[in-house]
Amino acid sequence: MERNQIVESLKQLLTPEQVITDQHALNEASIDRYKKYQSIHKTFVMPIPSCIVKPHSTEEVSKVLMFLNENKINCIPRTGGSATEGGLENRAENSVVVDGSEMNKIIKIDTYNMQATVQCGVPLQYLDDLLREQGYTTGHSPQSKPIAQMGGLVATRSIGQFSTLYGGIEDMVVGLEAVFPDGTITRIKNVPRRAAGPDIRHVIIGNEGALCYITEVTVKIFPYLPENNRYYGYTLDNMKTGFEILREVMVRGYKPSIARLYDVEDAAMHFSHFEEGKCVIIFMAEGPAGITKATGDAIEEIVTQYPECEAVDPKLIEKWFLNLNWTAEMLLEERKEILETGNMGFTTEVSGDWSSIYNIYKNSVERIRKEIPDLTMIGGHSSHSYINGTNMYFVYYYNVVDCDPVDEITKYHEPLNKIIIEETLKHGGSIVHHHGVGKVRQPFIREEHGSAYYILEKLKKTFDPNGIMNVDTVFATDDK
Amino acid sequence: MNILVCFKITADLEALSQEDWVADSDLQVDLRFAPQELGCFDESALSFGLKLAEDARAEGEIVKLTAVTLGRRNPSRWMKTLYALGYDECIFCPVQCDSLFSPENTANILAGIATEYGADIILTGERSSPGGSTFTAPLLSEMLGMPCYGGISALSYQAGVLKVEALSGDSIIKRVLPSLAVLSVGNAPSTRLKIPTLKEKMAVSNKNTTILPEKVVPGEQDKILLSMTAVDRSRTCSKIAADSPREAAEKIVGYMLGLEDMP
Amino acid sequence: MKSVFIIQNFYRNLSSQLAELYSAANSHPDEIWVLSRETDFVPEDEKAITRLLSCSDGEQESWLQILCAQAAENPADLYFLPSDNEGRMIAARLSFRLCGTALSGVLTAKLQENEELLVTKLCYNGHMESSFKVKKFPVCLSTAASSESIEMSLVKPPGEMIYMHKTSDFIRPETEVTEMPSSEGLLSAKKIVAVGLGVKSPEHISKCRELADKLNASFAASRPVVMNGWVSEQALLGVSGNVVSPDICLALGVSGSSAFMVGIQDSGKIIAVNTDINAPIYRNSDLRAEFDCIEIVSEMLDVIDKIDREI
Repeated sequence: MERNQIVESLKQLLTPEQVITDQHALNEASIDRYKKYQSIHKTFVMPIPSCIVKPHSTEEVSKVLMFLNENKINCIPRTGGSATEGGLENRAENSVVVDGSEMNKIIKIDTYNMQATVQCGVPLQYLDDLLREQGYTTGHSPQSKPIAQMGGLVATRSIGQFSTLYGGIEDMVVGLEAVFPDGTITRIKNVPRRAAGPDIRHVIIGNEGALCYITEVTVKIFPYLPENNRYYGYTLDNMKTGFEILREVMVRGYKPSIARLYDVEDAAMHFSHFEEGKCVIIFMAEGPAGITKATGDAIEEIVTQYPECEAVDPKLIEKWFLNLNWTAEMLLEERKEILETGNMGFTTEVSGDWSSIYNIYKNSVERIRKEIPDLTMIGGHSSHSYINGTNMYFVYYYNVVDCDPVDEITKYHEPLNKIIIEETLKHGGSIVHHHGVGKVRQPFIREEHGSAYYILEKLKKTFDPNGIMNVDTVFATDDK
Repeated sequence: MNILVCFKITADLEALSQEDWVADSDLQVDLRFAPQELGCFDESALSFGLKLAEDARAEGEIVKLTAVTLGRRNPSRWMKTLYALGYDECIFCPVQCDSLFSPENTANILAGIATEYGADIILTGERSSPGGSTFTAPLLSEMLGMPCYGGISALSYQAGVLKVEALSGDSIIKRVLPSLAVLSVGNAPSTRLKIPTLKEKMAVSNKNTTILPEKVVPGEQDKILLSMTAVDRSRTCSKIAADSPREAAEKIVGYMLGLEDMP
Repeated sequence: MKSVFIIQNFYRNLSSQLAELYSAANSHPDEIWVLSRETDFVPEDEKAITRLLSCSDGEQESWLQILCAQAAENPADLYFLPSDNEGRMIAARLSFRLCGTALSGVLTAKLQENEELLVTKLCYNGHMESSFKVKKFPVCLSTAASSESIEMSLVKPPGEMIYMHKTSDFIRPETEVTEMPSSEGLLSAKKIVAVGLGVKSPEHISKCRELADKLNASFAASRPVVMNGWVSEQALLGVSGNVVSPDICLALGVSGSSAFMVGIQDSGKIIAVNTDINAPIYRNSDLRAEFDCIEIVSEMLDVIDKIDREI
């Protein structure tokens, strides 16, 4: 089908106002934050979508997907647009971006059953602010919170800063509604737990728009008790000690909502106002007063076993959190800095068990320092811990030197990512902790899953036999 | 040519929340919890220092480029960055009293350092928080007996001649400067410092900050601070009743063209 | 106590400088001194000026020598200077030479009954207002910027007009002065469209200018936009730029830092357009629209075209 035919057909299916063909919007829709350098330099080398459609209901999503499926047109599902791994990048000619941001109703807040049901386009910040006014919270606080919307947060299997207490999105989702490429609308009902076959929520959570389109989500809500929050921060000399402390806290059964360990480079970016040249470990205990006290006391007791740790004023940690989330202003400031300095910053996050995480960190950093040109910073932090391991969130910056915007990815970003992925796979970790596979780590998906990839492969073939859902995302390219 | 650039590491005031804007018993605002940043006008001055040194060296001149800062704690991270970018020496002078409202004390100390280092051209940002007096550069010029030029927005060195540009009112004033001058850098577009690579930082890892003996400065001599209160600029902040950008645009056009009264 | 206003006619008009000084002093001075290039300069209302100090160039050192000589002959206790670069620097340097006290950004300067001087000024980038008791005289005060203007006829004639011709021995460096289009329109504008980083790129600036034109508004910008080189410094609003007082200020994609708000706080009404619901400008504005400012600009231009066609 030709581009204009696609556009006209969709205008007939929905309304003309719901079909966007503004060139600037389409250019921006061809990429996501993975290609932010190109975006800032207005270099759009990916195929430009034919249009962006904004459905207003699940039925409209169903109609659109059926149309795209019948005509074998690639669909890019989108809500908040905060993806960083190429998940929203367009790889096919004449794709259609299906943007759910106008499906933004809060359907029900049920404070007796502790659930909130929302449409996919509800911004998380908006939902959480509304809940907090009533004394509740979703407990979900990714850095993209001011921008991200619920559909995308579930589709990418996102995780928030307080996950050590509340869990990731997969622990928060109760039920949901999703539309599949053939137009089938499925609703997974809201129950606390069941053993009625495999947990089908997990077919949808994390599918990154490559299997279906999430239209509605129900999440758990929790009491919001900020008055009981306790903050702890310490400086220390090395990451190995830091990982030991994190492990100790988790293994002993404590669940601070925040448990973060920063290496010297990353700490210098965040905590320069109170220390330089040191690693930093921070905790926050949240919840009922008795629990926060017990958690806090345990943290203090554990840390005192490591004499190199020096405590910092808890107020410094508390204040620092206020600035942690992306705001629109910070993103604009970032664009301005990149344009002026030619210096690009990015992140890659992986996970590993306690035995392997330090080696993943150390080996990756050493190799990156040696192998990547024009590097201005490499460091990272651990921010999500479990009884059996933790994640490692690498942060890196490089100057883009003698390089067209279109080549920035191949000269710097891909080789850098590859080092981290190689070291992680070597040590048995996972190549992606929470940002999603997107397009960036899709080439490694079979290595990531090994023999278990069979399960994913069949899912893709069953639910998306025509391969129209977000091509080149998550699933290996030859899967149809 | 001996270039001295004076800079300050300040608190990022925009990182404080509304509730933080409260004066303590010393009539100062507690800034310990705010992230630190290089003052934006000082960043322009540091950038100009590098440019001037580079231009002069390209013409065969012998140049020494020095950066100096005063304060309670040596900002070693920034010093390492400046060394990596090409500063020949970075000086830190510990000062016991925070000269919040005493640019005279600041200028006094800097004048001593400038004399000791034989500075010909001194650059500094026009203003920095929290005081924001803009007086450091003119006072420095008085103490050193050097001419002072303010609002500098552009600078170049060519054929042995230093030229600066400044906006005054609606006039752009371009001057050819003498060999000695204090330059107060104003709103200078596109003067962010480059980011040095790790290799560039490694190459200068043996360079340490020159730490001068601590200075003790007298308290306020000429004025007494009586009060410090937060400025309240809050307004009603009503949301324009509009479900779409189009609706909002219609309302705003109505208000701006006087077709509709603002609520 | 004797107070003097010091103004210049090299780079700014006299009435805007006098407005600032009157706003701070809130009383008539004993004398008004004008630094002027022309020896035969005749101000609009010559009775308003006490001493015309002619000076061959617009160089600070020349002005300082002339002012010091004048202060030696005719000393005062308070010298008020305007908010601009020259005013601030002269205040600092003059006070040094006269062994007095200098203050900048002065909002008010009030003489108390016991002859103490109480001064208020902004600090912490405009977040806080401080007050001081000044002990050491003479005091050289550079005022805060203001958007007010003053009718010269309201300036009380302080006394007999005296023309003074002074010279300095300062050798002026080679100087080239280029006049830019006047920014007086911005300072006296009833409507202003101000843009911030939310416009994202210089390509959108021209649309914003077009919008300002169609609304018969003046165009201005926040510091980050000026520092990007997207807009000239003449259009800068804020603590290091212009202070304005339009009836309506439309702030597009502006975060609203305190330093910027100092520039527009005297606006009659402020309408803020910003997608960031936590942007500080929201609490300091009258109306807000939580939409992308580029979209709003496009829609506004379309709405205006529609209105024009209907007319």
